[in-house]
Amino acid sequence: MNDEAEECLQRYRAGQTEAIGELAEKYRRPLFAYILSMTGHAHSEAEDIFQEVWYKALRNLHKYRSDKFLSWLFKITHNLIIDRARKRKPDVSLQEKRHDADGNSRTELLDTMEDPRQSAPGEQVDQAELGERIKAAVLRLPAEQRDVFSMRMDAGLSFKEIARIQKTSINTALARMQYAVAKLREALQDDYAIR
Amino acid sequence: MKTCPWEKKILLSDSGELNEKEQDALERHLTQCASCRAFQEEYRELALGYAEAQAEHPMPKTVKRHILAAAQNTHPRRGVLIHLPAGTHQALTALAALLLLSLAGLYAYRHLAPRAPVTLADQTTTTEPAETLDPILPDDAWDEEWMELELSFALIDQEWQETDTAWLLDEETEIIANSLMEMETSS
Repeated sequence: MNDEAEECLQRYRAGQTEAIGELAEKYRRPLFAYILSMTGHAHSEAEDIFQEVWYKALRNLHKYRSDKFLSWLFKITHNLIIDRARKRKPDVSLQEKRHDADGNSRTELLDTMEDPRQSAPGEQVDQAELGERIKAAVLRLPAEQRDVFSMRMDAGLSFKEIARIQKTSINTALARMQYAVAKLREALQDDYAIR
Repeated sequence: MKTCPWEKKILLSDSGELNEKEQDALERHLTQCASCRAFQEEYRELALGYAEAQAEHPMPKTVKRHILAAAQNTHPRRGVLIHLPAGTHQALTALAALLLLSLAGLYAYRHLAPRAPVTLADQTTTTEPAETLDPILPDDAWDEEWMELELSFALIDQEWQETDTAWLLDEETEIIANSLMEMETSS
């Protein structure tokens, strides 16, 4: 997978700009899934972010010094999503809602995005497929847990990569996934084989 | 929430981040811990169900067109010195300065070095032309020097291609080219 990406990048550097189109197509699925998951399935916004990710990637391609292009793209995407949320509400964090030294509560990233809880109410997914129920439950996870879950499930990133993207320890990334699994188990216990 | 510490190992095993020894230890633990076996099973089912639910999101043509346009506009070969990594510019400047100093030294040696007076007796007694008579290097030596310069430029070109970032300043290139032309004219 990485070899293909490197080959496309080499072709781009050699002057074949259409190689970037191939890369964008190649990583479309995991990136879109991740962006949709983080924006509460707002499609038009996801397309904007997707496009902006590639603009940023192209402008910063000279800084790319690794063989993990997808991980690098996800880092850009992750930062971009946080930046966008901050523009809406300056005091925003991807962390759980918490209190600063003055006791003021910080706004969670999700609060600035479309509320997925409105677009995926539990009552409406009764007849939906099992996968849809999981997706809806994932949207109800706290942003930081959803971030880890989506990066692992949508892109297959390792926990080491996820921890680097989130600027946290691998232990924290793993703990977030543990919490996510526990919450999903709780949310799906009535209508899913998970016990 | 109290969880078994081995759950993290299960997650790391799924992402292929355990070494052989750790993997073996986990396998042994799983034979003894029903809670961890259940967690592993749940995690796998979740991953499978989630993957199946992922819909295709075809890329809108306008999005692809915009990305391709950006790819053309930001291509490194369109601009000069936009994407030099830190330090490259300084290194190239130092290299150019060194080259210029060498050229200046060579010029001074040839044109400004004091010449010993040549007498008629010297000319008659010396069978070979003395070096002091003509400080300018013979043609063969010039060719050698040119070849060395050409080689140094070839090396720069090679590095340029390899790193795809090392672009010389137009100004610097011009200075070097002028110096070379000057040398050639003076010869």
